[in-house]
Amino acid sequence: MPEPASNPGPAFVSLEEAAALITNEAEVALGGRMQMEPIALERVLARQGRRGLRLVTVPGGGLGVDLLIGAGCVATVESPQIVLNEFGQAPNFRREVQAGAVRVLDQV
Amino acid sequence: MGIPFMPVRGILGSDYFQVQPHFKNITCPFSGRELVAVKAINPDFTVIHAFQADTRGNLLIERHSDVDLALQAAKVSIATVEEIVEPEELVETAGRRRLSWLNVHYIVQAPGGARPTACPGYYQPDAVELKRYLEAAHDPESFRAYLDQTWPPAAA
Repeated sequence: MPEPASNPGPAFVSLEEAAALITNEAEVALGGRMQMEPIALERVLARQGRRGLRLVTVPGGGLGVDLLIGAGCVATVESPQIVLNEFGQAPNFRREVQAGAVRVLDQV
Repeated sequence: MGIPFMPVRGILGSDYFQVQPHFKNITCPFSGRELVAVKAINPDFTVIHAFQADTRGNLLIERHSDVDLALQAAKVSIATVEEIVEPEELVETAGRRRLSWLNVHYIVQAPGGARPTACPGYYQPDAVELKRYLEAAHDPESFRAYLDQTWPPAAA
């Protein structure tokens, strides 16, 4: 266990570098729903062609989950709710779950 | 907390157990009653958007949010931020809470990083862009075209 004084603290990196850390099939928790969602990083993940991600939302999910599903990056979603608030339901989420391409691990 | 599950009672007798492998029936070691163990979530990565980071890596996050728990639970935690400021400039407000760098591994300066979702105090949700998204997302092919059109591949 390193001494606190020797811990250099967080590293400052680019969007591309941060997204490249996330491996295929990783379990990834996402913050925010229709506000404070890390969309820019999720766009880069989609562009880098990530596959098989197991998403977890904190607490509910919105645009980012729908975007990653639409880009083909997602295997499972663990969440109580995916919704775009006043903008309606999440179309990619709904379609791919109904088609059986994405599995939902329903949380209460 | 470092514990592998939490005991819960409210979902006993439901069909959750047929769809949710992270819920298991257990017996209370004290009363012998039936309970549900809900498995702890320790994600490989947690990714959030925050208002600011300071140069030491402390964050200013949404006050009414559990993202700090998700950062703490993750093996690797990543925060994108609107701006990076000096430590003395990282100021809490009614809606913004300071979070220590201790559970933050990577920080990305990404102005507009939550668009088209909102970042209170920086920007509102982009309704025009969200409507474009919704129209495209009803069909896989049009959504692919939308992705290619709005987010071209990054330069090598």
